[in-house]
Amino acid sequence: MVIGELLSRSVLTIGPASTLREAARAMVARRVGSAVMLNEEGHPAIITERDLMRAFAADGDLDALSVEDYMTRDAMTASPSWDIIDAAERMKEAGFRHLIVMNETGTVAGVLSMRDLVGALLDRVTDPATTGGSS
Amino acid sequence: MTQGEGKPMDRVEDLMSPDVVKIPASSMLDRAAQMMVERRVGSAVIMEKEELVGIVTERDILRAVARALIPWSTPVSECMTPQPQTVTPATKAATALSKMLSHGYRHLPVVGEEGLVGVVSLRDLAGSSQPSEPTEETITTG
Repeated sequence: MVIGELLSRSVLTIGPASTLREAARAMVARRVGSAVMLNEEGHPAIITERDLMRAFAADGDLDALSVEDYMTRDAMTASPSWDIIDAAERMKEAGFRHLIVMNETGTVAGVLSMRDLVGALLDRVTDPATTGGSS
Repeated sequence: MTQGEGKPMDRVEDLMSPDVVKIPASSMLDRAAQMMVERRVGSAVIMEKEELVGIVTERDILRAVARALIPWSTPVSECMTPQPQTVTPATKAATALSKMLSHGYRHLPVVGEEGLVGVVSLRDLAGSSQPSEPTEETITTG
């Protein structure tokens, strides 16, 4: 199974100039733990709830700090054809919990969280019908 | 039919983190967030008199930010999940995963006979959730 099959949820995109408070409210409203943004060169960056927690822990002014102050610019990207197990392993090794899935055209196809991947993997383990193949 | 039965590594005690951030319910939210950041974990358990009374996660902190709660004057008890679901060290990883995904949790306190012994996260369990037939996945890419 490839990760492209898991891309059902819409992606939350925000501008880098948004405040951290705005980002938090958008994430909570959309029930996601991350938001992505593309820079001028088309490279994706991501901000996650962990980034917001860092600002919160430092008692920062979340109405003044902007997303670009806390986002990760070298976010982990993948293509929709990655195998889900491969994707989960690479995320675990790299310490990322979110994977930005990019189309060949350079647009963001979706964001997968570790939870999305683990949910799909668990389905495979608990429902033999979905594992396919011949073993 | 359940696959993966009898795999010795598939128990919570093999995968959990024994390094738990413990804080009292009267701690303020910023302190909880500081400890999670310092220890690089996504949850803190709330203890009162050696008893587990709740758990607070980074998702709870996110909601606190959205609600504009004041970090240094809001006690964690206002944002924690009280009396959280728990697992034991002997719980199978697949069972813990099901519990997490069905309830939408990413962290479960691990409680043994002697009390709290760890926390297991979705990430801890992620590597254990592979199907038992790896031959199916020997596709060489790139």
